[in-house]
Amino acid sequence: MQLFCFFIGQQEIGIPIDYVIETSCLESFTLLPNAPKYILGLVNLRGDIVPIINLSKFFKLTWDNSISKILFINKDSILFGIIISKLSKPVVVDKDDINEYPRNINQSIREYFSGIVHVHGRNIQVLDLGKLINSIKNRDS
Amino acid sequence: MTKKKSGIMNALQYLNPFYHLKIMKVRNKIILSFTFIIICILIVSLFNILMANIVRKNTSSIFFVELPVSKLASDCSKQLFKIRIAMMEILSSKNEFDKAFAQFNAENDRLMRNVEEFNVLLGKEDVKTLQIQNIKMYNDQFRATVLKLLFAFKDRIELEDQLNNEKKEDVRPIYLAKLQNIEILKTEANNKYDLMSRALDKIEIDYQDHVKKKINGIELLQNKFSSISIVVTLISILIGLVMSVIIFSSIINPLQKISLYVKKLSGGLIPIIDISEFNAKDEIGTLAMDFQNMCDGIKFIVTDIKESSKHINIAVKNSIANSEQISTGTCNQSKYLEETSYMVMELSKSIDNISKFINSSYELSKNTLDSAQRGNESVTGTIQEIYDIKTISQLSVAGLERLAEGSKKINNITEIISTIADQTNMLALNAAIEAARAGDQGKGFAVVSDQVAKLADRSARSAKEIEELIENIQKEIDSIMKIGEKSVLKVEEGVRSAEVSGNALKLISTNVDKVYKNIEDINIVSEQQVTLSKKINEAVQNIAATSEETAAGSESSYTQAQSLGVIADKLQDIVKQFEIENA
Repeated sequence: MQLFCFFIGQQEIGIPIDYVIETSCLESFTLLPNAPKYILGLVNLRGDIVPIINLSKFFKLTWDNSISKILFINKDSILFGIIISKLSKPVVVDKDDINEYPRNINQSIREYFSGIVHVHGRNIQVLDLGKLINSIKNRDS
Repeated sequence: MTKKKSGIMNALQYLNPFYHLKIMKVRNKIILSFTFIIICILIVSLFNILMANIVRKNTSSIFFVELPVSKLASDCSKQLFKIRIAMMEILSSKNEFDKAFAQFNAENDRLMRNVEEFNVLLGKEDVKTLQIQNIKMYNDQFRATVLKLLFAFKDRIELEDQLNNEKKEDVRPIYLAKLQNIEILKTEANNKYDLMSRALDKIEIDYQDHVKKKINGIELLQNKFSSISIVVTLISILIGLVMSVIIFSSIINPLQKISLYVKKLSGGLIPIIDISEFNAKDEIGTLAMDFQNMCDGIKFIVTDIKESSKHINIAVKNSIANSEQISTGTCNQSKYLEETSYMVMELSKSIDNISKFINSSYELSKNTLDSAQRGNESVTGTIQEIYDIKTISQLSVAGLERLAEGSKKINNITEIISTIADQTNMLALNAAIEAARAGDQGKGFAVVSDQVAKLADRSARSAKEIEELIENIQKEIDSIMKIGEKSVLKVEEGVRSAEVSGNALKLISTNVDKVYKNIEDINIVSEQQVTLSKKINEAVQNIAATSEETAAGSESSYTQAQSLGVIADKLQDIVKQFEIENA
């Protein structure tokens, strides 16, 4: 399988490339009133209104505020965007190469990641999009 | 006591007129004499005026009394004539007696008035009043007779009428008697008239005598007055002459005395003047004083000349001795002069050497001046070049600034390139996403997208490198610009120091120029010295010649001094002629 890789802060995160629609530069977005802190705002992607999620706020990660790009994702016809610090090279991995996420660290983040991959000296944390969407839905409700 | 006496004497002196005459000034004396003459003339003229007044008074009585009287007399005689005519009319008329008689009476009254005027004019003389009374009396008688005659005429006419008309012959004798009576009365009236006229004539004659007497008196008075006036004028002229003679003698006498003194002086005797003879206050007194001073002066001069002629004699003897000494001195002088001429020759040679040295230094200074001028020119050139360097360095600084700007622009461009690379990378990722979606068919496209991503990565890296390079270049440019600014400052300092050195060189050249001119002046002066030394040589030779002449001259002066001695003796003889009068 092929992973699309990017950085949020210092963390390199990868997602299966099949869910990715495209990347683009963050140019302008609309702020939402009374929205949760991790919702940055709304963006118009060729006619579709897409919410944008700030994962660093969601995961409570360190963030150097260097927002440059938006990654648009479509998972089970739920369209949303996440802001990323930096783009990275996509990698091709087998499913077997994905190791389990270490158990002893950071239980709250651990449940959103399916595993971790070591490729060419890079530690890529593989994000589980289904769990992410579910938790967001749960939180909203 | 003496003072009192002298005071009294002074008072007496003031009373004495001759004392006043003595102390008076000459001008005042002349004025006094003139005033005397004028007073005399005044006295004479006053006297004449007095006498003329008296004569005029006498003659004026003639005009006021005698002339009207004579006129009156002639009027009376005329009146008498008129009376006579009136009487004749009475006699000749036959009817108008009364009218004729009235005229006659009027004429008579007029005569009486004239006669009364006589009385007024000659009131004081008794004889004439008597005569006038006589005339009055005669006139009354005349009138009475005429009245009688009138009545007689009237009676006669009545009688004639009676005789002619009534033919009363008895009246004829009365008529004849009447006629006779008329004739008698006529003669009587004529007689009265004659008496009256005679009395009047007598008055006239008397009066003429009186006038003659008066005129004679006036003539006598005039004669007397003329003789008196002659005497008075003579006396006054005499007084004037005497006074003027006294006054002028008082002027002339001292002058004669002074002339006597002057004669003495001209004779060679210096007089001693007695000042008390002269009046010290007038001009002649001052002249005498001055003359005495002059005589004293001459006396001193003559005594001085006598003394000094003696001294001259001695001096002449001394000069003879001196001239002998001079002749020996001049011989020594000529020897010394030969030595000096030799020394002057040596001096002129040394001056020649000096002039040669001066010439060489003159050349040297000329060269120095040339080189200084050249140095000056080169310094000005250097200054100009430094200025050029300054402008060039300023230009280079400006160029560097432009370079810095350019590098900044390049930096911007590299930023743009890096963003382009970023976007290209993103595009490559999107392409990779598309290729993944396409599955196996998109594998080739995935390769292309991978290549594109690599290209983008490389371009991003090279852009970063360019950025780093440009940063380095900018740093270099900044350091070079600082250096360039420093070099501009240094160039300015160099300009200043070059200007200082240029000014110093100018000062050197001007000073060298002055030295050059000074040397020129010295050259001229040394040439003049050469000529002067030659002239000194000539002069020394001339002095030698003149010293010989002096030697000759001293001999001649010796002979002249001897002749001078003779002249001094003569002078003494001449001065002896003047003697000084002993007091």
